[in-house]
Amino acid sequence: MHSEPGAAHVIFGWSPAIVASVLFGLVYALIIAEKINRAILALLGAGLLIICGVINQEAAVRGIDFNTIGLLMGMMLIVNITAKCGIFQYIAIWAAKRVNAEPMGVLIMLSIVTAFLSAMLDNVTTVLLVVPVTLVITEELKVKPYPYLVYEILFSNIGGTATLIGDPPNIMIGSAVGLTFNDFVVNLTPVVLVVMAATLVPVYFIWRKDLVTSPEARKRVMNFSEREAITNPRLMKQALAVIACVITGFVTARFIHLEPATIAIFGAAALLLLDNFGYDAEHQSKNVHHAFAEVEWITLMFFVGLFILVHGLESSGVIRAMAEKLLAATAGDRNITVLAILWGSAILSAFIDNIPFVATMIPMIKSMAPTFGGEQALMPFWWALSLGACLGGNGTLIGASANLVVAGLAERAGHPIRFVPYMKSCFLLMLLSVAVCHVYMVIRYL
Amino acid sequence: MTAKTIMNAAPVTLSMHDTFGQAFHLLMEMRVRGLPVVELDGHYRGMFDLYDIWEVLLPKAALFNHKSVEDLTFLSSNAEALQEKLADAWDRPISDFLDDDHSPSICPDSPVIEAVLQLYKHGGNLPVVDSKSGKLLGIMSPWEILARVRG
Repeated sequence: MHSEPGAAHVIFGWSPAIVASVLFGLVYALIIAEKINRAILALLGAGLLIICGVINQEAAVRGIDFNTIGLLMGMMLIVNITAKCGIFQYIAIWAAKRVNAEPMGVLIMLSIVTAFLSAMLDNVTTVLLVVPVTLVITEELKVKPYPYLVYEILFSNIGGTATLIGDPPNIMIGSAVGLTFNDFVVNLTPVVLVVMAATLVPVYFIWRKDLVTSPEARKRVMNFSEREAITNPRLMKQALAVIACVITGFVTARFIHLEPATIAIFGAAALLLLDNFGYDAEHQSKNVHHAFAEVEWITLMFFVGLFILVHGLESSGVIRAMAEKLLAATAGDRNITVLAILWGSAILSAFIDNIPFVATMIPMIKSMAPTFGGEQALMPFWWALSLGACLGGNGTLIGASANLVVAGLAERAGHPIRFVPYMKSCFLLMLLSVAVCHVYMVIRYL
Repeated sequence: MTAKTIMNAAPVTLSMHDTFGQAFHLLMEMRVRGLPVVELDGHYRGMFDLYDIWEVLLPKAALFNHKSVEDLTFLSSNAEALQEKLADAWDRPISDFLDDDHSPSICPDSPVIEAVLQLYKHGGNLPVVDSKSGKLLGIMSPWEILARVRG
């Protein structure tokens, strides 16, 4: 095992690999225990890694993937500013009315809207926007919101899998490997559409009897005026224009030679300018302060600490040793290794945070390049990791942040979603979605 | 000048078993924003106030704090729809509706300036509760404080 050039010496002459592994394991265990905020843990772990001398500050900063941080921050700003105009409520109400407020149709439409928005925005923001409108609609329809909320959880994670910007694991993989928005759309969106269709089929059999309402209740929903949901038409036009430019930027990123973080942050700055143009300095300060306060700093700081911790593992040779172990277990067979990553990522991501898992897997997979004949040969590995890590989150209520956010909102609305009942139905649905991906991987890549 | 020197020591109270409908009637009749709810032994349990009524009328999603439904213009509810919601709650006990978020209490020995601060923050009437026994001692309304301040 070797130390990265420029790294300081480890205190007491300890092995860098052991110190990095112990610190990482400790942080991981404490994250799972959920007693201390994960951002605090990751930053403490990263700080200790430097203090113990496993890596120095310079190396730690090199380990942080600012492309991931910048892309997340830029998109969080854009989405939070856009949310103020009511466009997302508009889309949800519009979708419910397209199916004449028929409960089963509303469930399907709101699930599709959730998937679509999750593919473009982060999952937590999507469910925070869609769930309240869903609760209003189900309250008017006098139907149980439970199946609606469960399907919004499932579809936020499924939809997020489809694009580069849909889910943090994809942002991390895309950034680390240099994959573009289009690469994700071409390779993942087709299978995500199939997974969506496969996941919707059981709704009919499980909840058909619960999803009935009266003509009067449907009429009440049909009387909703989606136009009235738009609270700020000026901001809506500006936000939609900026989002269109940003998406165009992502699609053409390879040709215009720009990284996604640059595009997202530039888009956020442009939207901030438009939103504040013509107002006095005091109003601008308040508005900009509010926009920055809405950024999820816990997530971003968690990423910063985690990248440093993983860099510690990488530079001390632990990651390479882990990759060798995995290869030994799969006898170096490419196909078995890819499918092991798909299923392993899914099962593990159902129980542990998929962000640290993916952060650890990325350098591990990268180090397998020589074994399988270069970086190009690793492409199926990345798709397997993305599909497994993103879809696995559906398996349990703690599998992804969006799941917990929906559970929290459901509890406050008096319709709690419990861990075991959720897992009973959704773990199977998750396995179904991974089975679909397994078939897709075999047909397309293996 | 402390809370107990200004409070109304014999306020109208509600019991935990009163129904939503009875409490609703009393608030309407007395034209007050809220009334204290006490156990039979005088233990203070909270204020039943207008917020509890608004919460019954509003969609649950509008009661969330952040990024929820902040504007309900799209929901063209008519009077019948609201009456239906009121009817659903009418016979339920008020213990189902008590929500301490909007109703802080104050100790009998607290200075009046503390009462002014609580009224500034939360509005409504302020229950005066004995911190040891948890019993309701009286109610401070903004009007009693203003009358005393004016001198």
